[in-house]
Amino acid sequence: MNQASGQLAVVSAVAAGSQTLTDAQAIERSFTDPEAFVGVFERHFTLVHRFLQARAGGSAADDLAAETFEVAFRRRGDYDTSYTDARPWLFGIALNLARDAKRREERQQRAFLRLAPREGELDADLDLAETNAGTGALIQALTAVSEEDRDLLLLFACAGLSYEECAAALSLPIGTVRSRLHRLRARLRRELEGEALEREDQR
Amino acid sequence: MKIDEFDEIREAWAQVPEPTQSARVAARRRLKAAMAVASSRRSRRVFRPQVLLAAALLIGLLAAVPAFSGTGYEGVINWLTGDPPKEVVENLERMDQGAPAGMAQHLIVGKTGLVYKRQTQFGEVRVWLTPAKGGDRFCRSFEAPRPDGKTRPFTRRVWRNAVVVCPCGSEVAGGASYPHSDGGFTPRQFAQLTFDLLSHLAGLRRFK
Repeated sequence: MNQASGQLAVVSAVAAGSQTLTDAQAIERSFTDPEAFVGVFERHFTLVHRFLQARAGGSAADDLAAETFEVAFRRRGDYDTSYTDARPWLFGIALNLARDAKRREERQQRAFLRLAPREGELDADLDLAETNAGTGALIQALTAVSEEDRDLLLLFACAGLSYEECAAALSLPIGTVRSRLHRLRARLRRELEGEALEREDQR
Repeated sequence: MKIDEFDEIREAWAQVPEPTQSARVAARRRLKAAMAVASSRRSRRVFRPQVLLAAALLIGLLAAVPAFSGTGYEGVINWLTGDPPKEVVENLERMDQGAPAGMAQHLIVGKTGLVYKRQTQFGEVRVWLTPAKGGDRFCRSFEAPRPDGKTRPFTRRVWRNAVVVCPCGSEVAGGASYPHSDGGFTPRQFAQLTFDLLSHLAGLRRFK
């Protein structure tokens, strides 16, 4: 496990005032003391922002990450407080917002092309439209997989979520998550082995 | 050596930069704005149960007291059976003692009736109404236990002209009356009575 996911695996605990609160406790307290929700924001904003950079591009991530926490605060009544860690819930919101943003952008692009049609203007994969040096490498690594698998890979391999948490974030049965990850592993293994054989042949 | 198929992706993930300080500040500001809206909604909501409780009590009083249904104050006086205790009677009889000319209340003490009775954590609280001659005035008497045994009445939260009678001793806080012209209570008078009673109970709680 790398350093980033190691940090993320730490049990959710928010330092709020003199007490240490889990995400669930902070959310529960925020009903009487809204400021308690700031603890959830402080702990997860970086991760959610990085996830959205990889998912929706650098410039969109600022707005989407802010919106994620705003929506989360407004809908905190929907949060199941039996889950101590709010990451799957936050990622679920972030993914929905990213998908909505993508659909909006596609509609705008189509409308724009109808007004001024030029071949090749519509980017088939808007996720790749806005990249920077940091996110570029990750996006390149994810280009080979479908959009759904990309979300799963980001949540599992990058954000460090467990099978159960990925299932909760993507609203999928856990069996589906397991089988998709199994397929992805097998596929990546084949590619790695193919690359290794290629290198041997070149020698 | 064990190969993790996701290592390449994890390495790429490690290069994804952290959000800038300005992005974080903007997001925090946006969240705080949402919180401010929630707080203002909440403060409005806090008031609602109290208003509902007061309204329910008022409606209960209005519905229960025959005077409001048009039967006149005789109905109020006889709403509940039972005579006022000695302290209340004495208080009422003292009302006009030494009153300047034209300021006497002329209460009909014998027609005093109980209009409210409630068991509280401090003991029983009762409110008595006494009509005045001419049929245009009422005198109200609060009868409530005192937690400290002193005779000073709870005048702080009670209207200046109310009469407070306590089992451990009594004291007149001032001449008291509600004007009325048709022999019945107006909703406003009942609202005032309800407010007085709630204030009195709140005062008792604080005193405790």
